[in-house]
Amino acid sequence: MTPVDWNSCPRAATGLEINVVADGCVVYDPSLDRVHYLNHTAVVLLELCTGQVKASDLPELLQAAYNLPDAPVTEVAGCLEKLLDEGLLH
Amino acid sequence: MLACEFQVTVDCEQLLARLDRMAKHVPRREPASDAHAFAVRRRHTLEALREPDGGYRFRESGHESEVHADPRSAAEAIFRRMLDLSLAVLPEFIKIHAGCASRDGVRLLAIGPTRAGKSTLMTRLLYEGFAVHCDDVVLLRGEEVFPYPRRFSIRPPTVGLIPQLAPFAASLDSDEGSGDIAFDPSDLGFEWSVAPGPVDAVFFLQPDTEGSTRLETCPKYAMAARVMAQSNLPIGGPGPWASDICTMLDRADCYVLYWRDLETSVAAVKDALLRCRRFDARIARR
Repeated sequence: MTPVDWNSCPRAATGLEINVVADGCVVYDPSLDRVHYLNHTAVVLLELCTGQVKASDLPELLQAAYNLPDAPVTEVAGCLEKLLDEGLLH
Repeated sequence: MLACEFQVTVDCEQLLARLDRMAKHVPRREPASDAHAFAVRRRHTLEALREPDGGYRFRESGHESEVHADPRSAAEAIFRRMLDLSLAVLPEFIKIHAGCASRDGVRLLAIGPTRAGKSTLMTRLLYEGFAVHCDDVVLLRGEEVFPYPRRFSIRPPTVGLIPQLAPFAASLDSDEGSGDIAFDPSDLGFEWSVAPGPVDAVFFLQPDTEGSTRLETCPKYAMAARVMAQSNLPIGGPGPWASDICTMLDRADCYVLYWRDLETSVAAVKDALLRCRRFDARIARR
């Protein structure tokens, strides 16, 4: 797993083809010819990664988005690690 | 066959009879709009002629191919080649391993790998008032699926699960009965037609040898993963692959059917269709 650098501002890979369904999306990465299946939370996280948002701010943004009692730091870290490993984030 | 026309020459009545049973023409309503029309027409010439020293030589458009030992394997080889060629000229279509049926205007797909039970379920649904269009392959373009018009095929033990098939199975000659049983709904007294249309419910068949039959709602993004694993990339490239599958799934109710036995599985499918949002909307309009 690629460790998350909380001081970085991750950015979604360019050229991704994002196909939305009711409860998530299917992302096709033409550069790697790979398909990824993301639930809503992962999609939101991917879309927040514009290259201008610090990774350390993402848990609080998700907390606000889903009205959660606590910031989901562990869950965000796990998701970011997967997205980085899959090449969907840089 | 779809966008292709085949001329097949054989010099063996047994082979011809087998091929005729496999490639029986399905009644098809012509598409109402140009959007459904197949733009490409190709003509292929296939030959299977007896060799002096036994076996059948298969030739395609004058080019020699392999020798097959008996009429059955020669007929199957010709038919497989016809299927491949008919798909090859439709590069924009996505091929999905699925049976397709409809009832009361609601269309379902039963998707799954080989031996998942697609043909068994589809055949059984014939006796539940469904119009069953195909048992194994559909073609997807945009949000519409086109049932692939070829004969259904079940293994002999399936007759034990669907006793209504017994008279038809018994009517086959002994040689025919030694392999899979091929038929179409008209052989069993049902109408058979295929037409393109959107899908209202998708069932992914997951045989389950433990526990009881159960139907679970499946997230659409997760169903997309299952469907894509049972589909072939369009020959023209991956362009519309994900988007067409997502478009199809987004308007459909999605389920995984963990099936233990046929009767409870049929009941689960019928129950799900009664709850189908499209069905509800259609009834509400009446």
